[in-house]
Amino acid sequence: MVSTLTILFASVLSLVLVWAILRPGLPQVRSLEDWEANKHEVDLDAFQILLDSTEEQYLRESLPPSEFRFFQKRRLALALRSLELVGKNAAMLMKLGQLARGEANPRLAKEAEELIYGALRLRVNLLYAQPYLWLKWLFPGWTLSVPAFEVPYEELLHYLSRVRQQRQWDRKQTLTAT
Amino acid sequence: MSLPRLISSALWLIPIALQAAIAFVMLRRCLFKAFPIFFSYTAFIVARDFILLLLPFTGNLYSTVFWWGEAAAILLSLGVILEVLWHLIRPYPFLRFVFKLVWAAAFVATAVALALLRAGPWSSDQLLESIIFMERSARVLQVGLLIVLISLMSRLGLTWQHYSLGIAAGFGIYSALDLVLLELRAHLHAVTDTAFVLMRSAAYNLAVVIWAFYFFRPQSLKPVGGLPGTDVANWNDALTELVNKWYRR
Repeated sequence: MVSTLTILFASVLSLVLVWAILRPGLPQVRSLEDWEANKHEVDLDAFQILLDSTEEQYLRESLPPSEFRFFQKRRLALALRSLELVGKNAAMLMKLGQLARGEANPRLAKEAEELIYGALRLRVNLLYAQPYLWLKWLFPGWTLSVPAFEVPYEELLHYLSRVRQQRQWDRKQTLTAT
Repeated sequence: MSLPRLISSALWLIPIALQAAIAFVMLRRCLFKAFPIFFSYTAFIVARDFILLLLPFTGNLYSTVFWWGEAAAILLSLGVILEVLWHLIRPYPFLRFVFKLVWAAAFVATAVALALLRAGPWSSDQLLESIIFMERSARVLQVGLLIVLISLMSRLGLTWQHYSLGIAAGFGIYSALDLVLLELRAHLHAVTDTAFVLMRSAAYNLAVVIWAFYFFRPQSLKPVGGLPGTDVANWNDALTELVNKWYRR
């Protein structure tokens, strides 16, 4: 029975995931105009205020605990929503970068490489930021830091940077050769 | 000709025609170089089904060609998923370690699947049961690989390329439906043999239609023209600062 349930669960999950990537209504980004039409406006300053520790401390001291938890949850939910939209923007930018990278114009291809690098780095940052904010949302009074997991964060960013340098070098060599 | 037989014939012949056309389009667009395993799979299925069409249904040879062909098709289809994964990860060299991880996970998943499925009851038809058992194991692996592939793509926001998306989606739907049907037939005995064969063919037809849709529709190659100015760098700085504050190292 366990194997049947596992198999049925895996099959349904697979169908749901396929539906998620095929479903109509996902923004198709193929040009600058598509990006302008589909991008999400997210205010970085507002986001930083939502996660500002001084603000959090002020709210903690001036509100009763239950009210503080309520407001803190709302602030964190807004911050999470902002990150979700930023993640969508980054995914669209990566798509645009991929399309531009294949073009003949070397300047545009270089810019595309930079854009992909930035957007991917942003996605890596989100992989760390979102779980932490979810934890904070569950336990709004929590102020501790958590141990880093998986590939050390700085190492990953350093690796990304090295790969970019290598790709730029390869591109330069190709251009020189031609 | 009775209606079920007519439906069964249509469900058998339509994918042969469509897959032959897909193979032709892949040859014309030189896509066999980009997706050699998918091309081999497509050509192999067309050849096998064409041979089966010429053989007498009741003969031993028919059965041999069908079941050995089925085993080869499953192996090739597993290869296709790894090919799609490699195709999507290749532009990001720092993600290549993920490819090795997926290989390792695939072996672990197979071992777990075999252990789980082995516990199932065996009926009197031992040979058919064992074939279905092997097929079920391979499909579990296929579905597992697809779940990892799609989750990874969406988590990192990596770009689905036109053909890779079509191939993965087709296999995703077919392997998931096939697994459900195999489970209903072999383990729960909830469907009759006729219904099992018809529904399986219908699931495969759905996959072939998805592949045909992606391969017949040419990929849009409109030039992008330019790139937008973004605040990605500012967001990265802000998030890096926060992540460094939140995580202990």
